[in-house]
This record gives sequence, structure tokens and C-alpha cells, in this order.
Amino acid sequence: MIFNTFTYFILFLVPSAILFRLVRPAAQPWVCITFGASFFVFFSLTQVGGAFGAACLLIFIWESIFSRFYKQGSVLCIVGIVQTIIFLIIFKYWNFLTGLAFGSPQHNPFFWAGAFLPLGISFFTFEFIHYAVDSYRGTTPPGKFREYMAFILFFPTMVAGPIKRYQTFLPSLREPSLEWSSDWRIGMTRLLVGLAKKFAIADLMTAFTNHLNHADIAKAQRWVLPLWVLAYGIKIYFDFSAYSDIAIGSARLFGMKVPENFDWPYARTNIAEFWKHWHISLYRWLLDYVFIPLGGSRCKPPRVLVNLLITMFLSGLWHGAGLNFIAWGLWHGLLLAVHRTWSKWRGAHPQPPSVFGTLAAWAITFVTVNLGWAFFCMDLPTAAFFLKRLFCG
Amino acid sequence: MNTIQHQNPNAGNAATPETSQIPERFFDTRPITALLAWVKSVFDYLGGSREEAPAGMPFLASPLWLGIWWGLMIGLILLFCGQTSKFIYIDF
Repeated sequence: MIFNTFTYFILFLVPSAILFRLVRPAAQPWVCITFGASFFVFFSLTQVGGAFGAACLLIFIWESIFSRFYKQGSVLCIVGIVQTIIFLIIFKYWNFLTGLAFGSPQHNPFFWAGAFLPLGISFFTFEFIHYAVDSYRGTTPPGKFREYMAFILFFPTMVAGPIKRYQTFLPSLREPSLEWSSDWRIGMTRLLVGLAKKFAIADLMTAFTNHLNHADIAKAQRWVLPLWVLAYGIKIYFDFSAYSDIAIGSARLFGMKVPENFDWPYARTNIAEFWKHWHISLYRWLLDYVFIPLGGSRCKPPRVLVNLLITMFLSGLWHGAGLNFIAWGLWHGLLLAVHRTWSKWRGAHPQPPSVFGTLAAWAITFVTVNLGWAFFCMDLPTAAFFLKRLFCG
Repeated sequence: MNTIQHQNPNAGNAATPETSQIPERFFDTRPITALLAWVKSVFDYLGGSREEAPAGMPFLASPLWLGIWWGLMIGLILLFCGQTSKFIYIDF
């Protein structure tokens, strides 16, 4: 829950946002740290992982302290990246990876029955890696310890982003906006719209998406199947964009701006444009820390396609420890590869696209993206069964 | 609507008769794109992701409208909050 609870607003957001504006500038990062740590412990204890989950705060504090020793070209940056990935693998992929090697939990001697995911670990990982890589490259200011801790423990973006960059967060922290009136007007609008999107649209779709299971798919008439997956497409967009709205609106109450995450992705007319406007902070992270280091689009054409597939494979794997998420990532990698090949083959068009061409491009993008959600919301055998029923009856 | 017509590159082409432009304008997406961009700016402003009120709708920036809009949102929240579920991305 978290963002759609009274606790979030009454215990954390409103008091911290007001206090942040009232204290002197040197104390402002400490407001972020204190409330961020309390937020992590409170919601871990009540919703995710219990006492063990709350204790994981120590891991993130350790990683933060370790990050302070990073210097340009230092091997410590690489050690930091490795330890961050190891923590993610232990908590997120342990049962998945050992399951691949040993099979079902009954036959898996390394199965972790009490496995849990510490609050926001996937997003912490992105921000730690970003800071380590940029420190190695010498492209990020070190800042003070309290500023870095405020960056890591800034609770509006802690759990599910948007994924921040230290270079843009630091100036915002040092000189937050002093326009109380406009910040609270815009921030509150964003919060209310986010909550309304979540409650009135995303949650309403659950009535349809609940049917995306093997038993219901087997019984359903064929024409209803695309509607169910379309409902999931609507649900995930409004759910995650609502979450991002609340995070961005919350940050705005502090007088701080964090990156946007969505910009009408379903209105886009090709898959590359879709990804530039869907989960934007993830797209940019993948671009800067995976795709470009792999060689980006400056390699030979076949290598570029491989780079796309690797990037989207990792994107899928990051979304969840399951073969269905890998399939979802590869599906998008394939779509991007096809789009890139098609664009290169067709070349630049002197004329703007026609209405029919634009509508056809939009329809193809919309349908392929929504088909991909089948892999995202169901395990692989169920998704395969769904697609078989959808296309073959 | 003035803005939209203004952005149409064909609008300033006085040498070409209006009737002969029909097929070309029919296939030209730019007027539609401009209209959609304006609609998007309205929704973006209402959603709080755009700071300036969209062209032709200054009343959206008034406190009265803000009160109505917030009231609408609060009404929707109260109406639907009984069925809420966990945010999907929390598990990622």
C-alpha cells in the first residue's frame, strides 16, 4: 500500500515537508534522513519483511557509507557495484537462480523459505550503481555525507522511483524552491490526481485482470481475452503513473523536483518512442548504464540489435525473478530491434506521415505493447496458454 | 482553435486555392497533431505535470477552478477508496 494510506500522509509526508521548510538549510538533509529511515523501518515492519526487513536498513546505510570512499578511477567503485548487485541477487533472485539449477523447492537444498524483498531494494540498486559509475567516471560531485544520505533515504522516491540522479538531486536539496504557495498547489494537485487515478481507474481494472489465470482463460470465450489483457495494460499504466504522480507531488511539497516517469506512452506511434515515454527514469538509466557502455548504436548494425536485446533482457530480469519477465524484456528487445531495422531500411521520409499511416503505426505499437503485458502479468506457461487461446482458439 | 489553424503550414499558402488543398490536408497529420498537443497540455495542467495554464484556458489557473478540481478528485478518491490494492511496482 504505502502511498495510498493515511499513515503515509499524516505520519510522514506532511510533517516532514513542513519541517523541511522550517529548519535552517544545513539541517534540511537531516530531516530527509530521519524521516526516510523512519519510513523504511515503519513500512518494513508493518508491510514488507517484518523485523528482518527493517534491519535491511543497515545494509543500505553500509552501502551509503562505503560509497563515500569512491574516487575517480578507484577500484572501490567497482567493489561497490559488485556488492550492490550481490545484495540484489541474494534478496531478489536467490530462489529463482537456485530453482533454475535444482528445480522445485522440494528438490532445492538452497531454497530460502522465508525469502522477502527489502523495501525499495531494486530502486536503491539503481541509485547506488549510478553513483558508483559516475564517481568512477568523475562526473558526479561528492557532496557531503548528509547530502548523500538524504539522496538515498529521500522517502518519496525510495520505494519505486522515479530513479533520481545525484547530480540533479544535490542542487535541488541545497537550494529547494521557496515558493510555498505554488509548490503546495502543484504538489497537492499531483497527489490528488495520483490517488484518484489509482483508486478510480487502476483498482477498477482489477475486476478484469483477476481473470488472467489458467482456469479462467480455459473457460473464457475467445473475444474476451484481449479485453482482459487490455485491462491489465490500463491498470499497470494508471497504477504506476499514479505512484509516480504521488512521488513527484510529495517531493514538490518539499520544494524539490524529481524526474518525470511517464509522458503519454500509449499515444506513441513506435516502440522506441513508447520506451522514451514509459518509465522514463528507468529508460534513461538503462541507456546510460547498460546500452551505451555496451557500445550503444555506434556499433555495426547486428551488434546494435544484440545491445538492444541485452538491455531489454536485463530490464525484464530487473522487473522480476521469473522467466515470464525475461520473456517480456526479450519481447520488447525484439520489437525495438524490428523497429530499428525497419527504420534503417526505410530511411528518412521527406513528407510527414499520413493520418492513416500514423493511425496504423499507433495501432501496431499499442497492440504489441499490450500483447507483451501477457508475459508481465502471468507466469510463462499461463502466458503461453493465453496467447495460444487468443490466436489459435 | 486559432492556435491550431495558425500552426497549419498550409494555412499561409495563399497561392493555392482552398479546394485543391483538400486531399493534401486530409492526409496531413499536423493540424490533428497540434489539436492533440493542446488537449495534452490541458490534461497535463489538470494533472499537475505542467505549470502554466494551456492557451485559451486562463480560468484553469483561478482558485475557484482549483477548488472545484480538488473537490472532484477528493470525491473520486472517497467514492472508490474502498476497493484499493497494493501498488504493482512495490513488489519490484
